[in-house]
Amino acid sequence: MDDLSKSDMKFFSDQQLCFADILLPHEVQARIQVAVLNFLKILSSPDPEISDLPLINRKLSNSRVSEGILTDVSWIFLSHSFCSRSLMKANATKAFIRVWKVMEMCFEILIQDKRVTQRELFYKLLCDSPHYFSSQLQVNRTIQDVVALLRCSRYSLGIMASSKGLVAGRILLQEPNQEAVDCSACGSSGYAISGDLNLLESLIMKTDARYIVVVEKHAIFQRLAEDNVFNQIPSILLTAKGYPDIATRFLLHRMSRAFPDLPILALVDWNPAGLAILSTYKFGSIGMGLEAYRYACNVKWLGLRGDDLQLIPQQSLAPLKPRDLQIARSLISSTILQDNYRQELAVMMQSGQRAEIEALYFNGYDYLVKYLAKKIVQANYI
Amino acid sequence: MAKSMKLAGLKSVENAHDESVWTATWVPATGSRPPLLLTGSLDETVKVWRPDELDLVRTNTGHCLGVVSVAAHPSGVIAASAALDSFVRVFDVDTNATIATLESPPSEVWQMQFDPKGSTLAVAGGGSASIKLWDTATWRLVATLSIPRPEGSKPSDKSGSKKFVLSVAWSPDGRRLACGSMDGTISVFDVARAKFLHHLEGHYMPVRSLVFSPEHDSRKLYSASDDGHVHIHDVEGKAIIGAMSGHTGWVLSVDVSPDGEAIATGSSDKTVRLWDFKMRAAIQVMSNHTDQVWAVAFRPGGRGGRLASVSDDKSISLYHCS
Repeated sequence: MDDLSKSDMKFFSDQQLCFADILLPHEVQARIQVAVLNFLKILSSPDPEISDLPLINRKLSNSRVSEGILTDVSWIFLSHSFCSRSLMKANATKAFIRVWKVMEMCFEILIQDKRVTQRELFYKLLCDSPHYFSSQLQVNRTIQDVVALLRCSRYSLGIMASSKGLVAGRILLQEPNQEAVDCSACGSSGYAISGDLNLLESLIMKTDARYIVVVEKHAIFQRLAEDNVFNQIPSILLTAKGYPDIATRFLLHRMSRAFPDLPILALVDWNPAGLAILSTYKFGSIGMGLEAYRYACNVKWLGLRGDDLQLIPQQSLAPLKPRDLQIARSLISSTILQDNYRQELAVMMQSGQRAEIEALYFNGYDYLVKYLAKKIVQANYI
Repeated sequence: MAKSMKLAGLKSVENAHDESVWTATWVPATGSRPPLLLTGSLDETVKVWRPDELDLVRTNTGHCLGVVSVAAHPSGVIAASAALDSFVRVFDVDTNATIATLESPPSEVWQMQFDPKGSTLAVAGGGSASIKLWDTATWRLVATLSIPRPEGSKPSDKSGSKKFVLSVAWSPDGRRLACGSMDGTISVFDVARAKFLHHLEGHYMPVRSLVFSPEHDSRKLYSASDDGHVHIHDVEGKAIIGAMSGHTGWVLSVDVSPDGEAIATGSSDKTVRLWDFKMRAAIQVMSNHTDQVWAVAFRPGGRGGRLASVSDDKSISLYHCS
């Protein structure tokens, strides 16, 4: 009976979806003004109260899975469970005030028609309200609180994403009124992905590649770009230099929509963190669950995988660290992970070992390209 | 009887810069790293050092002339450096990313200090005979506190250049700003009303360094002058509380220890002196520098006291205070 109701939910999961709107500046300003007016209304009512701030809960308990039934893309999203920030809780008063301070700062930024990065917002808040803000992490968390309160995207608040990701390979990217950039001629440093989502939206893309390869690490990306792997296997290389940021995911998603015939293949280290990175590209994340679900893509796991371990020497295997096991446990508990990924994860945990892509260099510095080519041609990805 | 403070040399770096080192300040600790030392030099660079080994963390370039002043925000996250080209560069201490560049007319940027809350940067305005106040959240010039022209002078009278402002200091409660001029006068301003209050007389030669004693409602101001003396003033009452003599040259810099018990000075007589306020006398003389000592700075807080000194001899010295 339980299974039946669960299978029904697959079709109606959209009804549970809670999401952040992508809004124009004046619309966000209006939402902030409404939040202030509501607060004041209750405060000045005959039965006055300092209202709590209702935020969409960004925890596992409020996360749901939308399984790709008709498409092959599944994603994680957040539903309508709330948590609240209250001025009345003794240790949480500053967190309450921080939300208002960030809303105030964003309102000013939007009025001036500007955009800031999270770091620039930190500098402003540090100097404007030193009593409440002392670290970048606090600012980032408070921004997510504001997103969860106003239900608008971080970018709509006037906060630009960081420019972390890089693209190289057989793709032409053209900003409006600019020259097209040929990413195969950018050298090993590639084309830097802007943090401005509007700009990324307006890029004109042309490609003759047959594959998109998402690379976990910067060093591997540089190596592959230097070796011009994309001329041997017509491909586009992409990296976020580690855990993917929203701008890189946004661009990857645009590419997957514009070029739906190109398989997206991930090259990550053989450890739980590598799989977590792949999962974020593939399904989105809970932390940014109100926005991230939009950019989920059908990413396939190319390597490193269990059967690649025979290609690397024993001594390049290292023991899993406690942090790795923590990540593995949270991945296993996530219902969205498909069975063959679970099996790989189980092998990882059982062997207690991890390996990095660099271990392939044991077979020669050009081995990485050969490995990549062979796997792609054999369609050896899951 | 309370034990007097004592200095012991900890570490020196010869040739810390390629030219004279003119300014030094401590950057407070943040959640993720301990306090750092910033130095600025005639060689146009600002260098970041990690105590106690004085490992060089970074060299910041970009100024077009010698660096006359460095100041750190109380949060320890950002700092500012000013050069003779009258540009102030505000930067992130850990990444050296530039946050803002503040422009001023020539020779109108000298010493700087962030207010204790970190919301305003006060810059001694040199030839403008004023203190410029910059808002740290927006980096706009929000106020100019001008020293009133001496009575009887015409508006076009260039004798205002005697009031050339070299040094600036905030009171710990952020309510008062004091600045020192080339003619030896110290001007006191009420910050909230942006109003000049009065002059403090006593010195007749340039006052290059000022510091308030650290207690929160402090009215006590120490001033260092080319006349070789350190004066102690009551800023509200305008009276000189005391004077300390002993240096045989210009006193270029004065700083007070975080507990308020001791004062250190650097001088053109190449020495660093430690003074006990109660005894009004120098209790220790450090002579390890071989040229003028341009700046001394006590580390704010942290485990164990530290004092840094920088000199025309291009070196930096670090002392332990107990």
